[in-house]
Amino acid sequence: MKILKTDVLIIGGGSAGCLAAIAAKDADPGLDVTIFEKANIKRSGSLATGMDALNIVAVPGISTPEEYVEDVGRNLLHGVIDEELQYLLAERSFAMLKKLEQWGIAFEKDDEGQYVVKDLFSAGGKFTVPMDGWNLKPILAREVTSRKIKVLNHTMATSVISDFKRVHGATGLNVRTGEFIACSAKATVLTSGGCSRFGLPTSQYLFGTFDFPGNAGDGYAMAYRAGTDLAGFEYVQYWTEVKELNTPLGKYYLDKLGVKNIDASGKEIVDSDDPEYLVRLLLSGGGPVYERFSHLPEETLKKIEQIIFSSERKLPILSFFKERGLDIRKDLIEYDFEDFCLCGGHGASGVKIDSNAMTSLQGLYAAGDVAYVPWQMLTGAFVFGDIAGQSAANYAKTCSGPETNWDFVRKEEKKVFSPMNRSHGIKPSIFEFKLRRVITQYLAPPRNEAKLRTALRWIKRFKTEDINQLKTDDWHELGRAIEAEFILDCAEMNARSALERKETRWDVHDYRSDYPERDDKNWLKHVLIRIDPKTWEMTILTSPVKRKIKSGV
Amino acid sequence: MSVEIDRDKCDGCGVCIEICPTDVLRLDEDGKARVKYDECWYCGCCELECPRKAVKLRLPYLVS
Repeated sequence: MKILKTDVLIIGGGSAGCLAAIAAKDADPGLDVTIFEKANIKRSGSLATGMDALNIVAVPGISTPEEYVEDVGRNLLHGVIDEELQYLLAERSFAMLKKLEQWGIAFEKDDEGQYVVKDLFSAGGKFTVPMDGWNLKPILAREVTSRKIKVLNHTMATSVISDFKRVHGATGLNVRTGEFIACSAKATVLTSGGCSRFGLPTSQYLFGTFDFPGNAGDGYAMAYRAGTDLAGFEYVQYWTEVKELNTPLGKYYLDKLGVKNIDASGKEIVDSDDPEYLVRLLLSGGGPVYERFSHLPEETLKKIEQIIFSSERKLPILSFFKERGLDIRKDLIEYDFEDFCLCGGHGASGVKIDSNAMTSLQGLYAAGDVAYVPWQMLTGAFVFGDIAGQSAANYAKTCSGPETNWDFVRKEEKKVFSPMNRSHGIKPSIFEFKLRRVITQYLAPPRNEAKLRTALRWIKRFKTEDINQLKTDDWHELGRAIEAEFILDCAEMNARSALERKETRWDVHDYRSDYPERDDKNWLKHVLIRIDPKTWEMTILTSPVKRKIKSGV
Repeated sequence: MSVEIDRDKCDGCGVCIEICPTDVLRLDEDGKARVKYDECWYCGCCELECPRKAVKLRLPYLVS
């Protein structure tokens, strides 16, 4: 076992994690800051291949934080919003853009030197600033390493060390060498992303997900087991994507350029911007749904190709079109509901945090896709990563320790290695398929009480039987076994939260066929999850929404 | 296969193995990079980072 002590431990070196580490070190260069990163921080997390825009920026003179809060509250969150956090995100967004610019990211400007600002995807309002962000992750990694922050690559966290009141660091596993790590920390920051490996993609390929499949709900499950409050787990990230490519391909912008959505009979879908219409059509067997480009003038087609082939995840997109011989001048592009997941960035699931990015446990902070700032996107990861790093540094400076809880660490070590010590059992990939098959069948909207209760029966059986029979043959596979148990916890959080919310608030994202209407009288509130430390059972609570400004929701 | 590695160009430097976000690449018995685990996300980081341009992402289907 490797024993480490640090002032600030960051779990996950993606977008939020890098910002948190940098902010903690900048707050006090004397602090010891350590990152656990499952892969390598140079190319890891959802930002691995870069990003084409900073989606949420309130550019002075163009848009305001108040407008952002109103747009996101009305159009994306349908009234279930803590406005203080959303306001903070928008308020700090422009300063974040400036910081990224200093680090060498180029943002698009017009002929007069003003920032180009586009509509925010599906929320309306002008907030999205295109950028040349293909090397964003290597740039963040450079900023981290230049500050003498300790980076443990190929190290996944397996648990957050907690006594249900205060957090004291985390345990980790090097997925290359099998070394177990006990890292005591004064302050711990969770930045480990959402749960991408949730529903099975229609291709049935476990790693063919829209979002980065290295994120298996690690942070959600670890935070839950540590005793924090979580929220928004009834909301699944679910939208139409290009079939077997699993990216929306900038559909929102393409539709604005005159691309037509057509149904299986070739008829134009007039209400294609109405998510409920597409849901009804696809779920009632009225698919496939296609995008048609061929009617557009060559000039527009060229513009569209330029957008498609320079958008987020451009390499797989280029390869997909080339390998399949697709040409938008003659071919239709098929769309479907391809996979669904839990995510704070493009969804609403996460660990509850306050305006200091602190969770309900002392010494534990969270930011990015793992945190409950619904639809925060990349800007949220950066802004709250920055806040979490500063807060963690301030906390670390004031407290003693860190103490090592040896009882906790030894128990965790024994549990982590158990799949390596079994002579026979179930391979993690086989178990993961079974689990995600159940998730897809019973947790994908539309769902109802009967489906959700069936899911919970399976989840209970998986927890009592299958998970204790996993068998692994190398350290890499052991990491996948640990992730499978994270996914299992996420499935229970999703099922129990969905069972609690007896309404349909977010269309396809939480559609209950037994409660198909929105019910503001009873359900204008958050659904929270908390572990009962005595029974280890999952408990569900609700809390009211908090208004900061007068918004139209 | 999701990632094609030109065995003449690959000199086994290990850059792609080091940065793969899902950590699926390893050196084979000839000292060349190969996909060891069937868990590729088709992100193309290996292609982006290869100093000898030996890696090509291929995405015909979302299975490998």
